[in-house]
Amino acid sequence: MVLYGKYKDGEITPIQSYIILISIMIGTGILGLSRIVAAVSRQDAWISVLVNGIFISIIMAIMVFTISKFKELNFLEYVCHLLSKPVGYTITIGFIAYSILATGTIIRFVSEMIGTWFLPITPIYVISAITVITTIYMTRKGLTVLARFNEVIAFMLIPFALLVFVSYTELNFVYIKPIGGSGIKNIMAGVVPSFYAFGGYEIMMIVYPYISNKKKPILKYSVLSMLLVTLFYGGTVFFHIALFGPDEIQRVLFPAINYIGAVDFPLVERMEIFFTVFWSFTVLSTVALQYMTANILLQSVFKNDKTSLYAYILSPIVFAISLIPKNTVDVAEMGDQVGRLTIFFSMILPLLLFFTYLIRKRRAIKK
Amino acid sequence: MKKLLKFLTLFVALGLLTSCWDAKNLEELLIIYTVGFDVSKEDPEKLSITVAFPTIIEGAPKDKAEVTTQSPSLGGGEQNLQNKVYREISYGNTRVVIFSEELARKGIYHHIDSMLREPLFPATSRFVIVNTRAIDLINYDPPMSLFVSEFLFDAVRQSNRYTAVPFTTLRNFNHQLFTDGIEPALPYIVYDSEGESITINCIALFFEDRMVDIIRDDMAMAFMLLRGEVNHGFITAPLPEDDKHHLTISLTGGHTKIKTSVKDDVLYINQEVIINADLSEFTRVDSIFDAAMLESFEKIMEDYLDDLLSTTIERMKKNRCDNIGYGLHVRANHPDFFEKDEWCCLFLDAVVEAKSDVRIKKVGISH
Repeated sequence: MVLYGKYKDGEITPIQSYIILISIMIGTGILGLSRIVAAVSRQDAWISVLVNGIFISIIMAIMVFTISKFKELNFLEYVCHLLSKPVGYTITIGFIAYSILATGTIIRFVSEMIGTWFLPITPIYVISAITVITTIYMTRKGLTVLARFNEVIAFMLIPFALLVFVSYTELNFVYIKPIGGSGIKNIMAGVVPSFYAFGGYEIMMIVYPYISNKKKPILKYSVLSMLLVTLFYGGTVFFHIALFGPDEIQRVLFPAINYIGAVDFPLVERMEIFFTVFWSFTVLSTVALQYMTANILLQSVFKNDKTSLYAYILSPIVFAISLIPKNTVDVAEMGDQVGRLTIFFSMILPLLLFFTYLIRKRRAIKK
Repeated sequence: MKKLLKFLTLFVALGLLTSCWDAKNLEELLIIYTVGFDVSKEDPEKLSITVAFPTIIEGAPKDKAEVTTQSPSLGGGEQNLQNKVYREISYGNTRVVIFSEELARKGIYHHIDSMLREPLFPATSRFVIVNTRAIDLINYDPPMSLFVSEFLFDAVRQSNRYTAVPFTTLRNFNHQLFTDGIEPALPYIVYDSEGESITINCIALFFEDRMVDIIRDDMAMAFMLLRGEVNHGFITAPLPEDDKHHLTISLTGGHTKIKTSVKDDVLYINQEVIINADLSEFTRVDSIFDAAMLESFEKIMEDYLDDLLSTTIERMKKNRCDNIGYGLHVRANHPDFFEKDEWCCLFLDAVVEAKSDVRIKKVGISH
């Protein structure tokens, strides 16, 4: 109990907030990222990913700048303050619904991947149920405990990132050429399908009020966190294209896993298991953080003391959502839909809040 | 009550976490090492699929066994094969997939689709073509290994190390099949069933999924040099105007550079094959410890190899299939010129010139 009171003026440290950003973004999106982006911008898929990363880094800077003006207010309060109470409540409820839907979708992605590669006979609902139970366990003690979990598993990202080099001997960089050959139009169009993989950073709008020492350069490090993920995603897609080429990659469901299995390793028969070990932890933190977002927002709407109540209440809903898709194609479709929703909550909303803040500030100065 | 609830949750979770649905003891599995495909003798429209596996059971009359079935494809044959054996078939350890030449000339893609969809089927399984029926090779008892699969697995790798045949796996084949600008090439095994011996120094050239030609011995090695797979091995060249003596180099590595240009609508492909080598044999008694002499050796070897490279390219042009992958470079450097459906014709009309650059580093310990 002493530990929970560690941060006198908040629930998480600035460093934990950067790690949260990285953890929530690296999740299920990486599995098929190179395939869905290469379908549009072909060999330049990695450029599309970098462009998206730079774009959302700017959005992140705007987001943190705006919310840093309301240090004492939570998401519901500052949205109500900027956009009026009815709009604020509508957006918050929409955000809750989005977070629940995103959690259910990610859980289904996890179940689909594990069901396809490792537990083909185990029913999907069992894998989903285990993931939901784990998520409840991770989130029931609140944001502080979840942030600490993320801090620990952040080290897993290092070997996870290093796995992109395992198929290095098989790469053919001629597939990357001609650089920019797919045209600016296609490169920009390729940015859209990568939204799902980058989704989740909007959590900053929710967790910012809980950061303990806001004197730290949170804006700078938040943007750096985004660039780190961008670099990781961009590098991953670059290597995937160099292995599969823009033609074959269209036929591979989860290039991230097939990439690992492209070469023989001494002693290790199934190298993709290593990928899954590291990936499982990062994806569990993605699920838990997305789930936590809904819990925190519900807590602020109903003004409860703890989020644990919602950790239990929402679990049947996310479980049910995870069982909606009938097959793998439906799962991919669901991911696309959530990706579209992400555009509103992670791009349009921060910009809306920013411009409203500027307009209100200008009016205040005039007065 | 709370403790009881916790206990029950833990108990249920433990049951699920053991993944009992998918739990399989090794003793319950029939681990396939080799899969062989032939044209059925009874019905030429069907396949004859043979799987080879170790018997494992102590006291079994044989250490290994084979089962054959007739089916239009592997997918359909899996059920028939399962009905003939007493354990669940597992393809997770498949080392080698053998196709008879007769079948390979008809096309093999629709027989491998099932392998590509099965996550357990190793992407690194070796693909080979055999001059006889695949079942004959499966029944071969290699003198140095218990299982023909292990023998072939190692033998193909060794031949690749000696720059004799390409290293074609399930993933490679699929990659070359679905990538525009390159056609597949597989190791071709010459099995002498009477002499009970095999030789792996030939390459089966494919157009799409159909085998169209075989290249042997020196030409196979030239093909490997053109592909840039310069590993180890020996090349012997006759000395000019001296039939009795010859020169042999031992390859130590190398690489290739491909340059493409389009002038007046004519495609020019210039390839340089850089070969690092040691002098392995010079049967005349003259001392070779002389820079000019070594240069002359390099020239002799280059002249010999240039002829060989040129003949190999002409052979591929005759087949109208680019198994080297020049198309990848043309696509990368001249995307407007490259037409994926027309590439075989463009390749035929292209001016392709390959030059070797032999660099002898060591001369051995006697001169």
